[in-house]
Amino acid sequence: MSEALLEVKNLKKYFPIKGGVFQRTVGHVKAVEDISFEINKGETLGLVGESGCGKSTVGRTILRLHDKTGGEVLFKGTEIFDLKKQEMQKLRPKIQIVFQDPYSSLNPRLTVGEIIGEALLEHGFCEKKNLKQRVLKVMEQCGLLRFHIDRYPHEFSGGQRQRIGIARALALNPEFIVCDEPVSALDVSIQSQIINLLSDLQKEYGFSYLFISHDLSVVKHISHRVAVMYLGCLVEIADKTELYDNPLHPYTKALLSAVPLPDPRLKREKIVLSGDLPSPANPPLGCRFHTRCPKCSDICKEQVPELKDVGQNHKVACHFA
Amino acid sequence: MKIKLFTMISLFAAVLCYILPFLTFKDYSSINGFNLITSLFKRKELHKLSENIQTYVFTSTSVPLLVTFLLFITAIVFLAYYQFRKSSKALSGSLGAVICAVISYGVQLSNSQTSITDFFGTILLELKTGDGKTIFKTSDIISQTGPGAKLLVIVSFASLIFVALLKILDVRERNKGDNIQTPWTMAIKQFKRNKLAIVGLFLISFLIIICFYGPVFSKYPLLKTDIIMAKLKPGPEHLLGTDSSGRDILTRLMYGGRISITVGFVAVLLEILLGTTIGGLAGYYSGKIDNMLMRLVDIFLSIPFLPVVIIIGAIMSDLNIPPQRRIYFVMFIIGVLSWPVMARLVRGQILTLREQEYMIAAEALGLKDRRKIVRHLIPNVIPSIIVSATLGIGDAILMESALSFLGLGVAMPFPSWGNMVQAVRDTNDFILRSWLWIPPGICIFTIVLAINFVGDGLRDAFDPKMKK
Amino acid sequence: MWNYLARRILQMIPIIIGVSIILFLIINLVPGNFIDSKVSSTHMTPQQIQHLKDIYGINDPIYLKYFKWIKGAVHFDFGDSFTYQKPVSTVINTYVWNSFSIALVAFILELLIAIPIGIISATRQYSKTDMIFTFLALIGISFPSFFLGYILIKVFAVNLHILPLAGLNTPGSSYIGFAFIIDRLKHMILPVLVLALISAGSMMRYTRTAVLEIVKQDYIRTARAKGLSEKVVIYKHALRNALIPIVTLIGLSLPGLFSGAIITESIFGIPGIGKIALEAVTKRDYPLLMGFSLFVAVLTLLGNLLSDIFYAIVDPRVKLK
Repeated sequence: MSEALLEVKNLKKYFPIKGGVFQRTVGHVKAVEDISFEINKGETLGLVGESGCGKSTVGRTILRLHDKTGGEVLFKGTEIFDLKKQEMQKLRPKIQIVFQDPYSSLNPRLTVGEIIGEALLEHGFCEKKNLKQRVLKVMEQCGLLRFHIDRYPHEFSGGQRQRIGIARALALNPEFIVCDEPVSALDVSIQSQIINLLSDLQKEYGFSYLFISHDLSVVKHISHRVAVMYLGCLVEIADKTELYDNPLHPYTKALLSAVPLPDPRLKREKIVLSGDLPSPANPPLGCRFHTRCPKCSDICKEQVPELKDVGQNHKVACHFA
Repeated sequence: MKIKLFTMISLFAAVLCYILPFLTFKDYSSINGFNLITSLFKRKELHKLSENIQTYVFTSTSVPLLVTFLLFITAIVFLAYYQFRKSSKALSGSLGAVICAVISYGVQLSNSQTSITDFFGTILLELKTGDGKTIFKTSDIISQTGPGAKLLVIVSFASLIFVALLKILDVRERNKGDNIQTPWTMAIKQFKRNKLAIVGLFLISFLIIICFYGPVFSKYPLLKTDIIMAKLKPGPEHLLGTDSSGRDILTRLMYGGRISITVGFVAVLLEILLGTTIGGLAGYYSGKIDNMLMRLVDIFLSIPFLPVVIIIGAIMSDLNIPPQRRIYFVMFIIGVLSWPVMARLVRGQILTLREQEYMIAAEALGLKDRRKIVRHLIPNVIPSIIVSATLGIGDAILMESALSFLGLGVAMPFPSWGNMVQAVRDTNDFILRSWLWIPPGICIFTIVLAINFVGDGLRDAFDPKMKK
Repeated sequence: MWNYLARRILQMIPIIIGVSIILFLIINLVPGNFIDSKVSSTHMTPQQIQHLKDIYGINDPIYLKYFKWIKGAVHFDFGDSFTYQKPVSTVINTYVWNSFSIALVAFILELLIAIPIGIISATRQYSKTDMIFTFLALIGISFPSFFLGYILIKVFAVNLHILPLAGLNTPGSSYIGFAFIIDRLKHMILPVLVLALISAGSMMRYTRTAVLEIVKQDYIRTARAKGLSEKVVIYKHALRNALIPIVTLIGLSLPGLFSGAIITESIFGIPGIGKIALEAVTKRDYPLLMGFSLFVAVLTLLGNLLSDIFYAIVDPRVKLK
């Protein structure tokens, strides 16, 4: 087994809540609790879950855009949180991110060429005279036209802006890209274009992706393996086909049952979860899902289930799997 | 094209106006340290001139004069480049250089410490009297009303207009191609739609030009009093009448305008420097630094403005600070007491911008701090700063006029629009001689109004939500 | 809520201390002292002059002066005014109500003019009415207060002889009851007009901006689409929300009603706290100056606090933390 490109071990990220007369820290929002997974070279791990479950936080913490509260993040064996500022800056080209909102992730005052080429100059990957060529090449790969290079973001549609964002990440020849809900803000028809683009780029360059989304059908198309998150915890992780054919965790089952079927004649039996999403500042004890789980029993209320390997690279965190 | 010819001629004429004095005076004493520069100019003797003129002390080798001269030369060079290489940027460069030259000349005119030689006036006068005994007094030079100075103003403005015309024609030609809409051009377009703002812009330019270059054309020196002519009604000789010491009011309005406008600009400059630095630091490096700096801002904001300014004005009178220096104190005070507002604004903007996703993206790209600040934060903060600064100039001018009116700012005999309104203190003047105090009041009102028009227009132009 | 108040007041204390130090330093920069200017024409011996100075503590070192003063200030005892030979707080109390009455009337007038005009201007954005009102508002902002004052005096008092020149009462008169009130009102008209006109301009612009923000929102469109009359839409839906920033501005202005308008009072000869302060500067009456300046500083801080509290009361989205 080749060494994993990215290893995340027991990652924790808490956000402090301040209150009281002196603004002391009175509690924490436990956004990410004990997450572990691996991503190999050329592989896409899909990360799904409801809004607010902490997926984006995971993505950003892995890239050291947030500070971690605990755990390890190893890129090619090196703990990235141990790196000093300059070393970290040297590492950054290799781990990139594509953002969700194409409207706020591009600086409105820079041209497309500047947005894409800026980091190239900064890291010294390219000389000034070759810059334009390099930028044009990346733009072409992402489906942008040559004359776009001097335009400003406000003249583009959402889908094109997302392409610019992808080109920006691509320009640095990264090895790993976090895609933070890159298509959630786009029309369905454009979504497929962008997904195919990402997929093609992966085939050509061998990127690894962490593909974060709340849309299961999108994730199914592009991922090799899928991980499911609930309220900051990882509840299930398996190869794609294995997960979709054989979900073991009650939450995964409920999620999959809610995916709409394209054929209106087919009916799926929907598992509707009771209750509301608990507050991450005050998560339930034991298994965080127990307040809404149809299979909840006493042990679920007290003991946090571990992520157990049940064979075929399929891991579940449930007392009943 | 004829315009190009005229442009070249006027630019050369401007350069000539500057260069001739250096060429013709035999003896002059230059300021220490500038020998290297002044020795660039060779001296020729002109026999007909008297000894007095030849030994006239030459303080105009000061730097501003040299700078203006060089700027005109630069403009000519750029123009030549444009002519032969058709480069649009060179034309812009030329325009920029001429604008700077005109402004720098305006600065020299308003700074009475540098005396501009009135070369042509000297020659004329010498030729008229022709007895070799013409003596020039410094006070005459300070009033800068000789024909040479006038000629220079006309020639500078002529060249400015011509170069601007060239630029407009060039831009028209080029814009038949495709239009790239940068955020700045969009803002300019939006601004142009606002008629009040355009009117404001013209008013401001008009007032500035009149106040800074007008006195050159007036025959009344600033400080010369003539009691016999006191308190005359407006008439053909004195377009706005005379004041209680017999000085021409129109001229004093122009000089006063220089001061009021300069105070406005300099105070705001100070405010921008202080406010942006402190607000920027607080916004960017939040945490302890932010807390400390914001406490400082709160303290300054709580200081009652008018009482403190009045107190400082009183201190100035007590310390017998000479009237010329007072103006610098006033600028300083207004700037120092206004920076908290700007700091708060900048900090707020930066805090909002930092959370924008493209800032996080910049972090992910591994850009260094300096680049993030300069290329990403600052261009997005600048619009608010521009709007705030423009409106701040209006406020500063109002502040200065109020201070001078109370007698605590610019002091007599130097005029300021505010202290000219002091004429109301004399009840007779107040009731019967409105020309003494109404014109300066109208001037203050007009320029502040124009500034507010422009500031409003700018605010609308930069506001992304205001697109019609 | 009380937590919040407690915290704000705690925060105010270091600021007040800082302001008091700065004010103290500035005022003590003023050369000359009260005793010297008074005794120059008398025949007191140097020892007597020295004795006087000791009594008034004029020759103490500066930090001593400050501590003596601050000790009293905490008990609201600011010492005695040199010019009036009475406690500073008494002096302020005597004159502040003159200023307050004029400021209050002007404030009410200002609100009555500015808010309706602002609303009308906003609802008819870019129309002729809007242009005219904006123009008038900008004129109001740009007029120097002293100039406006004198112009009004010239027109109404001098040329038309309708209104009195200065002061709060006709000198030498002894009106009682109703006639007194009328006389008072007549004297108040011009200063009130000056104050109101100048502030109405900026208040009108503020209102206009606030209403514009609201009117562009989608829920206003919905209200119109529901078929509600324009009046109801504006007055019931839009105004309630637009009032939020307006009310906060009112909170900020309330304490300002007590601090007097220095220039206007001087022009119209109104014996208010502003005029007293100006005289205190010319007469080097330190205790009065210090007391007044600190008074205004505390008022400003109170204004900020009031405006924040109003904001929290009026805007249901805001929770004071």
